[in-house]
Amino acid sequence: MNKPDWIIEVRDLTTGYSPEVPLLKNGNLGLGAKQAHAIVGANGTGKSTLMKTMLAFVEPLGGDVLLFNESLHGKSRSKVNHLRKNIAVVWQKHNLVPRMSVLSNVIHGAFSRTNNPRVWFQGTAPEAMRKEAMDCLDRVGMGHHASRAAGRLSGGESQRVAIARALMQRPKAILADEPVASLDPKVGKEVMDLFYDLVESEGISLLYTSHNLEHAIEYSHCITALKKSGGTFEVASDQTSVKELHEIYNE
Amino acid sequence: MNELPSRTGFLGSKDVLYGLIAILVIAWGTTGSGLSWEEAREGIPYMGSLVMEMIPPSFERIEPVSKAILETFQIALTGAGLGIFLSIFLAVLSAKNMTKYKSIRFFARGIVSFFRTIPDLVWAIFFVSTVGLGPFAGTLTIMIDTLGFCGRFFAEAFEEVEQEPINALEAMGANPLSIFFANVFPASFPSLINTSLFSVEKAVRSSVVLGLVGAGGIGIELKVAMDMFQYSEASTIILLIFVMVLAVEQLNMRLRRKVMSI
Repeated sequence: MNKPDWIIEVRDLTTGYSPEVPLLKNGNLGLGAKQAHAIVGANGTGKSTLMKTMLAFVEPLGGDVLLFNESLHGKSRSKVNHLRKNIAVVWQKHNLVPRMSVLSNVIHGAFSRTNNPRVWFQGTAPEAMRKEAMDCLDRVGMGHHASRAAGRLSGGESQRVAIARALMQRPKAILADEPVASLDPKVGKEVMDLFYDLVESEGISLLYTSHNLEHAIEYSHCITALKKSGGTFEVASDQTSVKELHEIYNE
Repeated sequence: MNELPSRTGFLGSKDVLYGLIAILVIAWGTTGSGLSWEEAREGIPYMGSLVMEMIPPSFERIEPVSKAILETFQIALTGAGLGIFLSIFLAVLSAKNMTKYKSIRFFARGIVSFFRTIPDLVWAIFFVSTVGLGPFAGTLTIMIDTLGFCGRFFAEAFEEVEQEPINALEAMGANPLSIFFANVFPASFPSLINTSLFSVEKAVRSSVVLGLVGAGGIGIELKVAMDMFQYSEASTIILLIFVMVLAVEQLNMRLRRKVMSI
């Protein structure tokens, strides 16, 4: 289990908002380099809470989370921020600042390296940064929307811009919490295709939660299922089926 | 069949009691407010004759009066401008999503409420006796008044900004200053402009009476004209005030419509 190249490792983790009712019990998970990894589970099994615990937004009730082989346990806030820098997050929705341009929103990804006031707006950002953001937009196929207001984008377009912003962080891994749950099926598939392409072509690791088992199998190398009874079950994506996953997570 | 609701609906006997108490409180109020039919009946003819004396308005002193009205407008603009600018700082300190420490928020909110609850004429008297007679006292009064108004509504506008994008930027490593300028400020911008326009309108209206206590502007001209029984001149002043306030209101309405469509 303790391979040296885990980007994120979850060891025997118990998490939730109160010790009496933990949402996830004794979960284990490892995200390897250049891997796409899906987390599936029924409602209330703690998928989102697991995500937040991995990012140190929620304190574990037991067990440990390691980012780049360093335990988060007892780490100072600035140390946690430093470890988290190489992990970009794409949330389910309402990611972007609505009244700013798409380009400004993407440039905000540079906050992971600097809090220079020039990063606040695309108009004041250094030229190299604007070009890098434009390149990120081109990689997600949104280059032609750079000057639109982020609040006027469709759901799928917003998610693409959020991914571009994640790329602007120059991440080793992208975490995504139900990234396509609020999108219609066709657009959701396009966004998952984009994610998977980034893993294949740029070597970024991807860890996402999904309640869509077909997606989970199609767009991952590895799946972790959260069981109703607590605990986790890890399986290679090409050796499982929707039916089997269903049975596992209802256990 | 289900039971029919009673004829009084969800009003209970307690509610009737509260109603009676409310009526009693208002009745008690009238005992000290000098309501008098006689005085009203005798006063009405005087009101009529005073209004008659106001017509036609006299434009003899139009030049100093116009100057005074312009000064009033300048006091309102400067005071409101300073107040709006300073409000941003106080609002950041009193908004829940910008300031984590409860004690600081409490303190900032306390200052804003204090500014708001003391009426502007009281502030004007205070500033006249500290910085002296003239428009500066009026400008400070409007500034404090605007702080009390905008400080509160700016803070509410900041708090209404969606939390998710804030969390997203925070997760990236953006510091509070970056979060404010890259997210909270632009997201609440239309609301800030709207409140600011309202405060300018409010400032123009309250700057009119500041002159009564010597804090600059048109008020003193109106008081002198009335005290000297120059009613036709007073009517000119009232007319000019009306035109100024109406013009500001109309302009504001148009600007607000523009802002809303951003």
